[in-house]
Amino acid sequence: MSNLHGKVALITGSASGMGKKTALRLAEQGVKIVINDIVPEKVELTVAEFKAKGFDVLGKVADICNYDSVNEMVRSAVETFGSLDILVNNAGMERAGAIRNLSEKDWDITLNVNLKGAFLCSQAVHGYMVEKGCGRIINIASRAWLGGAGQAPYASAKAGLVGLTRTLALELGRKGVTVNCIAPGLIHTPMWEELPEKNRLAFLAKQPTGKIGEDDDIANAIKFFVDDDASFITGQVFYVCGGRSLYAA
Amino acid sequence: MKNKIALIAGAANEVGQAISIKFARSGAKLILVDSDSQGLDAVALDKDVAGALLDKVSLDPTDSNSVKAAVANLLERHGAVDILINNFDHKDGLPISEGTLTNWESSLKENLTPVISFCLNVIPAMQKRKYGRIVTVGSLEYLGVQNRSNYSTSKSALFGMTRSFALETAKDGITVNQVIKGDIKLQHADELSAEAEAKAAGVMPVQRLGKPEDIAFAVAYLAVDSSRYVTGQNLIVCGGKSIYSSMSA
Repeated sequence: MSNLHGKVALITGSASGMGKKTALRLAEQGVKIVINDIVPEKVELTVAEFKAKGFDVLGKVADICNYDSVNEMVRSAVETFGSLDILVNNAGMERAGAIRNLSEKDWDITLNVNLKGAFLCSQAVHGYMVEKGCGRIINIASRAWLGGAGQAPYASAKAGLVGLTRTLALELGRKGVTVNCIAPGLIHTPMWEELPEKNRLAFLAKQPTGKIGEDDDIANAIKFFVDDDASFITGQVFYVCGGRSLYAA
Repeated sequence: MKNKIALIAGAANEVGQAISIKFARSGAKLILVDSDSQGLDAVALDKDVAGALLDKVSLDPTDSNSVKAAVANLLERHGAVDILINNFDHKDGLPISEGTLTNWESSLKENLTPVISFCLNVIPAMQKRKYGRIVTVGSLEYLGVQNRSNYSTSKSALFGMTRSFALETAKDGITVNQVIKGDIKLQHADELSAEAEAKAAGVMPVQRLGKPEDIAFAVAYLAVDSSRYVTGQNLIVCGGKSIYSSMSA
C-alpha cells in the first residue's frame, strides 16, 4: 500500500485541468481529496465524477483570494476528514499583454489568484500540519517565473511563489513540513488546442524535446514530492518542462 | 522500472548501495560497477539485489579504455542499458596554500572523468533505441566550499555536463538529470561524533542529516517513465540547506 493511503489533500483549482489530474492521481493512492474551485457547477460535476469512482472526496466552493472563504474551507475539510496533510496551491490564471496594454486590474487579479491565494491557503493549513508534525505544501509556479515577454503580472506572481516556497520551507522545516515548488513548462491544455497552428509550431520549436508535456507529467511530479520518502527535499524549485528552462529566449 | 536494465556505476558506496536496493525492489535488473570489488560483493549480499543482479563488474572507472571495453561488453551481453546511474564521489580537498595542480587533476579524474566516460559510451546505444534515463549523483558543495575548491569544481562541472547532455539528447527519448545530495549521514566514512552530528543537523532547515535512502528515492523518480518531461534538471536533496544560496532556484 502507498504511504499516501489515508492522507488528506486540499488541491486548489482541482475541478479541471492539472489540478483535477493531480486529484485523480492522489485519489488512486487512497488519498482523501478536497476538490476546490470558485465555480459551483464545476465542483459539483467533479465531485460526482470522483464519487462514482468510489473516491473519498469533499467539494468546496471557495474564493482562494478571500481570507474568510479560505479559512472556512480549511476548517470544514479538517472537520470532515480529521486532518490536512497535503496542500497543492494549483489554482492560477493569467492576464497576458505587453506592459503598455496592461491595466492595474490585470495586475491585481493575477497577483491575487496566483500569489495571495497560495499565501492564504498555506497560512490556513500550516497549523494543522505543524500540530501533526508533518505535512507537504506544493506550490505550482511556472517556468515563466524566469521572465517572459508579455507576462509581467504572471511571471511576477510566479516568482513570488518561489520566494514564498523558500521562506515557508525555512519556517516550517523543523516542524516536519516540507514546501516545494513545481515549475511546469508547456503543458497540453484546452487553451493549447485553441491556439492557431502557427503559434503552436513556434512554441514547439523552442522545446528541446520538440514535444509538449501532459498534465500527467505534473501530477507525477506532485505525487513524488508529497510522498513520505521525500522528507529530505524542501525549498526546491523543480522544473517539469522538457528542458525548456535550460536556455534563454 | 519493471525489468528495465539499470547500470549503476559507483554502486559500492552507501548511496550506491541504497540506490541498488531501491531499484531492485522496484523491479529493475541491475548491473553493478565499481572499483571496489569487495564493496560490490557486500552490496550483492542483499537478498533483493541478489535476485535482481544481472552482472557485477569491477574496474578502474578513471581509465576510459576500461570503461569503454566494459560498456561494449555489457551491451553485447545484455542487449541494452535503459538506465545509467553515475554515483562517483571522491571527497577530498586542500586549501589554496597546500593545493597543487596534481591534487586538482586528481579530483577531476576521480569525480568527473568516470561520469563522462560512462555517458559517452552509453548514450549512443540509448540514442539508437530512442530511450534512456541518466541520473548523476552530485554534491551540494558544487555551490562552493572552503578548503575543498578542487572537489567543488569537479562537482560544478556536473551541472553544465547534465544540462548540455540533456539538450543534445532531448529529441532521442533520453533524459539527463542530476540529484544533488546535501549532508548525508554515512555509517562508515565521515564518522561524526554525536555532538558534531547534532551541530550539523542544527543548521539544516529540517533539523536532520540526510540518509542514503533519501537520495535513492529521488534518483528512482528520475529513472522511470513517469519523469519523461523532466530533463536537464538538478534536483537538490539537502533538507533545505540550499535555500541559503542564490544558485539554487
